[in-house]
Amino acid sequence: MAEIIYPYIPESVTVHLGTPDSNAENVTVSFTDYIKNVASSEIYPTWPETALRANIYVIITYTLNRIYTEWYRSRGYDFDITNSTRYDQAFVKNRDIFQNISDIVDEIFDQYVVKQGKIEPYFTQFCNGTTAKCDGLSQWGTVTLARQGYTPYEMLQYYYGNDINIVSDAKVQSIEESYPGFPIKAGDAGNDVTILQNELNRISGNYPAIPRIPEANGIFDINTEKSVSEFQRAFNLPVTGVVNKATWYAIKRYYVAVKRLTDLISEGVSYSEAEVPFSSDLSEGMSGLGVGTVQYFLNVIGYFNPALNLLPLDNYFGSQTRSAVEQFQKFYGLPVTGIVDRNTWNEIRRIYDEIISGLPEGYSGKKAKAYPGFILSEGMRGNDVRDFQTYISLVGRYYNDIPEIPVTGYFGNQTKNAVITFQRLFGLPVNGVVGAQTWNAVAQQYDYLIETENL
Amino acid sequence: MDKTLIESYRQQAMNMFNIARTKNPLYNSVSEPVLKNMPEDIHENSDKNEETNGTGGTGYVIVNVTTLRSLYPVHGADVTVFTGTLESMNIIDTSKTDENGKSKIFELDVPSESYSQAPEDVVVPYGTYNILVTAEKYVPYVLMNVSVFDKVTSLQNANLLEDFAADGNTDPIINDEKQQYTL
Repeated sequence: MAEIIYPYIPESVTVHLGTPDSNAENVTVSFTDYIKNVASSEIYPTWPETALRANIYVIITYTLNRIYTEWYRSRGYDFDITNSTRYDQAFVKNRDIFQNISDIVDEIFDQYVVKQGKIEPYFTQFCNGTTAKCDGLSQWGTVTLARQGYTPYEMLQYYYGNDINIVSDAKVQSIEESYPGFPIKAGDAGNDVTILQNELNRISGNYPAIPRIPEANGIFDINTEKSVSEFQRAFNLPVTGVVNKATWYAIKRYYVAVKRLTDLISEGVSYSEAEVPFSSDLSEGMSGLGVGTVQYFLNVIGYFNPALNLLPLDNYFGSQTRSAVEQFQKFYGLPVTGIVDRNTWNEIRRIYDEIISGLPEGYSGKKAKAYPGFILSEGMRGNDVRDFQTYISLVGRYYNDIPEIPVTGYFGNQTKNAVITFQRLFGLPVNGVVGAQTWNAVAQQYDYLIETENL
Repeated sequence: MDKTLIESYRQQAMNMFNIARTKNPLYNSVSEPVLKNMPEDIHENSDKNEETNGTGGTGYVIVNVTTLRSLYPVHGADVTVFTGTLESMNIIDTSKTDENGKSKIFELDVPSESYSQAPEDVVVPYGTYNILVTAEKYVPYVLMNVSVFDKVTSLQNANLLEDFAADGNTDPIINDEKQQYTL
């Protein structure tokens, strides 16, 4: 039987800045940033709040419809939607976002309109209602309905029929832990709290105004409340000290993004240390480790320079890679050939090395990664297990009692014993599993040993 | 604001801007900011933001300065709100960003919100302002035609690029937000 794929909230949206067939750039932004941008570009933030909400439901649903139906991608385009108001919705790259619109989007970004009995996000057409009329929401019409006391849901029914529902439990891509449905505040305790505390501590590494929570023990104490407040202040959220839905997802989103960058940089240590002989020019059609290395360096540079689009690391020099090489050459003043010749290679290396040496603390490839947010235990497999084994193994090299275990990516008996020994030695609860406390303690030792090794 | 303060802000902003200019002799030949996004309908009033910024209302702008695709805040960046062109700036106000990369809350004159409540109004119901962001080691960044509404706070992110140019010739990056609401 065919599996039903339910609509989910995508992590990002790729927008084509022109009509579909125009030769215009594509830009990729997070889903919520896209919705906030469209809402700020389509309607006036001074309108009544109920009108704003109805319009935002429609913008969200329209976007999800384009993505769920793969409207453009299935036709061979490499984007999800355009910013041409003749075809889709207005979007102005890098524009200012209105605070009140931002707050509404944060509240309802995971909700969309469906026709009863259907799962697809409804194709919620809309138009301004004056110079353009259509079979859907009228933007100016919502202002009138707002003044007549209509709720947002009633406005949607008015324009799309009574047989509509608002789906409110859509899964959010890349965020494993959904908002529990109620705010988390001082006095609460549990695994959710531990995870939030670890995430906030990682974030405080980049935002020094956010104080570090000394004990990430799963109890939402006054220190946790202070950190939440400072996070909210830094991220333009209402400062309450309470983790509501908007705060929950803002923390998760930022943590996922920063972890991804840190992982990317850590990976790069092996790339930059590997001696890749540069024997000939690299061009479209070629494949191999040399190509993969170029792709990797361009991705790191692309992180720092959004003018460069990010690449898949597939070791194959296809049209995307050629495009990225051209963008690089154009931006850094080299002849734009799409071919990685010696000059281009040297410039890529130079910029990459400058970036790595100038990185803020905490991104250095050599330091241990942050706690992944879930407990590692016997029987588990994966990259996080592999990383942990790397760290505890180095510690084992320096502490006689701790065995130096092989790094396999599988949490077996050897790993468990190493964890137990470490926990006993360092005064931690001895249970053979790796939670935040144990991970952080091992990471601390690893970082310290790496530093001393380099002296 | 008193005139001497405004004048010293003007001097500071022009100094910052000139540092960027002198590094790149090519820039001196550019007389207008280059539009990054060409809107479908081009209206002529884009340079006249002084004329559309009537009194009657007050709007607010907070600039969040970051780097690394907005993952890392830039502390101590200089933010200048101005009208007019880069060549002849009319400086309204300036601010330095805090540890979170945030500027102060700028308060700006804009048309009253009453102009945005019905489609028959012909007055442009928002003010437009320009913003220059500079910070040591970063490429200067200019945001043109930022929309500001009465009683509404605008959150403007400015993601800066580190300046890796080997020869010090770096053009400022200009982002034009001019757009016509199709309302």
